[in-house]
Amino acid sequence: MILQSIELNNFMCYAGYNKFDFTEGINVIIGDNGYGKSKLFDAFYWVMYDECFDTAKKKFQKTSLLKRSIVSDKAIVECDEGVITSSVKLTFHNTDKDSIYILERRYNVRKSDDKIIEDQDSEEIIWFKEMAYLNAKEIKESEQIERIKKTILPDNIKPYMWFQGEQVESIIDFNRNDTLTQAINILSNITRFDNIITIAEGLNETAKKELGKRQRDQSGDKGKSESLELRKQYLLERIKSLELQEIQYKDNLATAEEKSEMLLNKHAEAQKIRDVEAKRKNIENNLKDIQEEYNEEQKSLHKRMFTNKWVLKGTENLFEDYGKMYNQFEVKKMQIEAERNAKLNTENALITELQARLPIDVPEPIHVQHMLDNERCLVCDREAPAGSEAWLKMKELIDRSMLKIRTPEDEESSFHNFSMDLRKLYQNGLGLSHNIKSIDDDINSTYRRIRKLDKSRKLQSENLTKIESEINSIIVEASLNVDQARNLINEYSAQNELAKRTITEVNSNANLIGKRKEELQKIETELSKLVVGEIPTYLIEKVKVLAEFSQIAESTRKRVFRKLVQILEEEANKHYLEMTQGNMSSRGIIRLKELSNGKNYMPELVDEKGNVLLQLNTGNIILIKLATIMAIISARQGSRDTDLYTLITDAPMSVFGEDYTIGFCKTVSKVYRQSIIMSKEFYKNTKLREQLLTNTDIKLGKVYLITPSIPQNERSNRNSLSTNIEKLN
Amino acid sequence: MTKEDILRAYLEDDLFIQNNYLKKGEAQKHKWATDTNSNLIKVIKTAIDGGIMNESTNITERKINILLNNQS
Amino acid sequence: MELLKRIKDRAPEYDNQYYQMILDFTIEQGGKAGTSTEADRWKQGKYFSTRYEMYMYAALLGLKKDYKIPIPYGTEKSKFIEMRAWQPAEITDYVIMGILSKSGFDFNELENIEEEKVEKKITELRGLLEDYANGGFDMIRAKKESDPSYFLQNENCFIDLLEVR
Repeated sequence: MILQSIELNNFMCYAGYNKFDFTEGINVIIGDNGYGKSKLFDAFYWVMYDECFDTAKKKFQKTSLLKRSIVSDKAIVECDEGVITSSVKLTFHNTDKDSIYILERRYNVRKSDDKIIEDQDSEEIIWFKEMAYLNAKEIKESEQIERIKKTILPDNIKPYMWFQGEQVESIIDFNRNDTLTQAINILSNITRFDNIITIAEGLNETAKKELGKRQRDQSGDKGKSESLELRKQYLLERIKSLELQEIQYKDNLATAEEKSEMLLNKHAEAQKIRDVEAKRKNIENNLKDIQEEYNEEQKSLHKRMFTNKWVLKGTENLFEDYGKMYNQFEVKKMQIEAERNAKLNTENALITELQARLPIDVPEPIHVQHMLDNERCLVCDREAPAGSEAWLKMKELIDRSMLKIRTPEDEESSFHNFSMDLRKLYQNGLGLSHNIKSIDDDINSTYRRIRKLDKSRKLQSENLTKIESEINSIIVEASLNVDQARNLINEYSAQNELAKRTITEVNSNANLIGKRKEELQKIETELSKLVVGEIPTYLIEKVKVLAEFSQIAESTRKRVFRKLVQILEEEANKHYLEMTQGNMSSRGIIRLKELSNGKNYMPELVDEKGNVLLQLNTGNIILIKLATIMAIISARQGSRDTDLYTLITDAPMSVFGEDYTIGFCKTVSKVYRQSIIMSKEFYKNTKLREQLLTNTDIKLGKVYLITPSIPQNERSNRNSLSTNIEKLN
Repeated sequence: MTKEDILRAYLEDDLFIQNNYLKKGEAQKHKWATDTNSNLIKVIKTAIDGGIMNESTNITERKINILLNNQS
Repeated sequence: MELLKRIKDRAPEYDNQYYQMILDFTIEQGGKAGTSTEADRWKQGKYFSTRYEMYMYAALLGLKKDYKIPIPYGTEKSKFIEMRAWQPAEITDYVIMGILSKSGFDFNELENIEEEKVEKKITELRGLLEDYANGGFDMIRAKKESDPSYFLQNENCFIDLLEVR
């Protein structure tokens, strides 16, 4: 049947009259979170099953519990007095017969004096039009109504055709035998095989008991038989409980395996996170070191003005000038010195000469003075008037005795001697002048060094940012943080330990069972030995056949189940491949791996060789589950389910990303004749919306955009909330 | 699945070959109507019948017991 | 007479108007010389660890450009510690050398005059140093005025300022 339209009247956030038309193909309702998509899903569900999905409790609730919340607040507020009716109407078209079914459900509240009286239940009205153009006839018989509803959507298929996004996880949980069996059952009646097992086991039991009784009756030693029988019973009990134990262990093991796998998925991520984290730490330390070095250089930069003499830059001329001045000074000083020395020498020479003429005190000064006083030289007996040459020469003789040779040291050359200090300054300057030459180079090389450090610092900082975002994306994918990663690895090891221990227990348990069975065997042999006479052949044959029957029943069920799982797997892969076609990065084949207990399975993605390909994240798993859900319906041999029934869902496409969203829509439009998808993915992403509307591979039905009349942040007041519906095509 | 399909599912079990009840490949050719001396196959058919008819398990068990008891 | 020693006994003064500027660029010692680390200095955005360091910088700047500005009579002035205590001694000596060469004194003559007269001359030398340093400070002040961000944004400001020819 094709769902032609849904009309909502005052239903939840759909105040007033609202209508959506649908056609074959994929019909899309686009709206952001909280815009009314899941309320629309509730509307469909409510008409058919008188229930709405409670997202908080994650289950469906009956009208009798929901009551007033079904009715639009706006409608209640705007009505002063009287009855407010909330209703939803679905119109179905049976294309084979061209007949129409209209299903309506109504719920009333009454308002009087500001009090609101709620009805207990809703009422449903079903109309039928034999031919589209004929008048509608109301259907009253409940049996007929049930039949019509089953035609619209059979109960066993319902969970896989009409479901909310939140339900996807639980609709098919591969590791819960019941949900998997339920799904397999849709494909083919496996319950039948389960029933046969029950029959076979029952028969086996009774036959064995029968034989045992016969043996005891015909026993040569009743006493011994009795006691052996007791022991046998005991053993049977033991074996039974041990076998139950075994099932328990194997179930535990299966759970542990699944947990381990999950953890391994996360562990691989966790390990990746640890590795990347280690790299990050490394880069961080590098950065720290470089940063420190850089800071050091910066800090000491100005210090270098004095330690490396940079402050003297450009002051060569000072030294040159000083040098000149100092040179002058020294030269002049030497000149002065020389002059003084010369003068001294001359004077000294005179004295020396004088002293060389005659020995000192020859003649004696008295006599010389006498001659001087008389102005007459007694040696040559001539006149020597005062001041004449002869008289002066005589005077010299007296003077010379008083003369001494003078040395430079006797003389006081000057008050101060600056030479040393000035030289010190000169030498200082000289030494520094060499430094001054290399200042520019020094500055430049320091700058270069700093620049290099800066560059390296920036590079490391970039690397750090990159790797931090890498970690973040891994974490987001694995929904782990570094601490959790560490915990996870611990948990994983713990799970592994648990698994190992369980395996040991299973093994020792199996040993125990084996021993008991051996003992049992022995006892049975003994018992049969005790038998006197013959046990009827038929009985022996019966026991044999029924034992075989029991065995076959068990192993066949397993085989058939496995085969069905395979069929499911193949079909799911068809859909999965189709959905992931556009996306190169994730391929692989779904494989349902059988777990230790032989009953449960676990989904994996593998390559052609069977190597596990991808660590499964939430997105992958949802995609696989959706593919499986589709497979459940589409693989039903000889059925027209995908033709007859409409898929209605707000599949969580955001979980697996926009690459897959279009693929999903394509696949859905191919697999189902009609589908109604609620989506938020196309709300913000207008590019994606364009793709949806224009992609020729998608068999598109109607597309609607819903928006609330009040923006999100003003939602506290629901009294004016209604929904705007816009047709996009 | 038809009754025949279900029967075949059982006949494909290794046990038949192991115990020499059937030869390899015979299982596929075996029809529901094919005559057989095998008590095991008879039992299986009875059980399948009962299931399809939605018979109560007690009745099915009784039928099988009678079937096997009447072997001489 | 030890000329150098006598010169170094002196403590030059500077114009008070530059007090704040010097403080801006010099880390506060708090009475104990050399107790702040380079890290502290750098963090505070200061470039000189002592005030006389900046003085030497200014003096050399002025000397380089032969730019001296005599401090007007009556201006309020502040003192540094004696040059004897300035570090590094080589740079200090170099500055003195520069001053001597600019002084134009006749040292030969100087050698022959009495001590009090020499001391007077040394005072003149000190004055000359102050003038050149004053010039240097003025140059720094001018740069600060024309380009306020220069000393704030540029990590290498004083080093780049050395380029001034």
